[in-house]
Amino acid sequence: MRPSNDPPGTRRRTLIQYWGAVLWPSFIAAGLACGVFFAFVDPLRLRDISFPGQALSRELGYTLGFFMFWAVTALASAVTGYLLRPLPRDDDELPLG
Amino acid sequence: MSAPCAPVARPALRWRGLLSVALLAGFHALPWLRWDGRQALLFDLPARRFDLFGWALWPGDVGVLFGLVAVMACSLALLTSLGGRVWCGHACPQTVWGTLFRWVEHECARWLHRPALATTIKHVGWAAIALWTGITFVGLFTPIDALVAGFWPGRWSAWERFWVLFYATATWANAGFLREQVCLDLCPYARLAPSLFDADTPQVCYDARRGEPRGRRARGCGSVQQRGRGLLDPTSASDYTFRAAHPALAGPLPRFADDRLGDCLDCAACVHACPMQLDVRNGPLPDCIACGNCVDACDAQMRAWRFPVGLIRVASANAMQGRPRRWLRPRVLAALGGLVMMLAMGLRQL
Repeated sequence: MRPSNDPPGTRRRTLIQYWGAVLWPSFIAAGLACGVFFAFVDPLRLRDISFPGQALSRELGYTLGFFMFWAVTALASAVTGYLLRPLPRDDDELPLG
Repeated sequence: MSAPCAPVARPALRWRGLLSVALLAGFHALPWLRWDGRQALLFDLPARRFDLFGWALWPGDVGVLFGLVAVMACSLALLTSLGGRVWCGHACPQTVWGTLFRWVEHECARWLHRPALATTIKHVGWAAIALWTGITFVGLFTPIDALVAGFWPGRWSAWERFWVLFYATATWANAGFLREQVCLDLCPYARLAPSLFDADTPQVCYDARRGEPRGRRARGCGSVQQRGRGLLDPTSASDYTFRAAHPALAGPLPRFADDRLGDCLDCAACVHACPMQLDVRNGPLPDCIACGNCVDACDAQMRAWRFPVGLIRVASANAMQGRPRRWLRPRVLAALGGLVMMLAMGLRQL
């Protein structure tokens, strides 16, 4: 039996849970966004508009696009995760009197 | 918990192992399949063309791909409602690769007696599997024969190299280290699955009426059926289960005479066999991925003691209570309706 509040490994589990909850859903969302975006936009056309004269391949465009989406979605997840943490408003820590 | 009671016969049927091998072989064969002289499944990103078994899709056809994903999601919901978490226990890549990595770890420890050597070989094996998985995955996005031919002497483009290493690292971390923690804390489907369950969905269940009160005993006294004790009433059974699960609240269980004991030997074979060390006797657990290891472990103990098997088995709540099975249920109908609607929409588009 594995009680959920056992002390050994709890910190590791909490860390993995937090970073997993930030990185994993944002990875899926970035993949979806990337799929829809590049279905309509060819990275080479985007290069001609934004960086004409630079030799950037389609693969680089897809990779950069994916990581850009992932950075943005991960940032949103991280801020959500941060805001969901309990506030230190509880006055139990303050000395009485 | 007491020590295991008896030498345990291994379960004869290894269909789960065979299924894992078949799924792994299927995944690794997928990019090698040919169709009309082209790779059968190729999401060719540089050429902006998707080959799907002789059917070429262009970027504008992305709706078809999302439709396919929606059909698969509805099928998974239907499967979960009808069969429980069969996907988690048998077909999920996390489970299949996790089992493979665990098998490599186990075999290394079994055959190599020097711990340092066993650890080294284990990591070499894990790295090789992870790398091959990464190559196969990238082989769905760039022609696999050129990718494999370019492996040595290193003719990959920077992006092929990067994505192979990215997926190899993800495989290595997920299957080697995170394992069932992914199911416990990170998987959205694991959270969703219980809401697709109803009283007729099979789950891994412990027959507390037959098993309780649990305890060690001398050999030769027979199962509850053989010695005529029969099944407990549900209230007493759940009372014993609760007391065994919460000794701090309920105090230690009393010692029962051998002829009053249920069929559970309290050998903890089910807990040791569970990849998450869950105790299935505490009731159907939301964390359980229904891999069935505890069922096999318990059946082996039951056979060793010449008791009938099935003290832990895959059964629905209705089946455990002897109620008739219903096939037309709200969740099944909703999933089926969604699936039929998606397929009809897909057929109209074609």
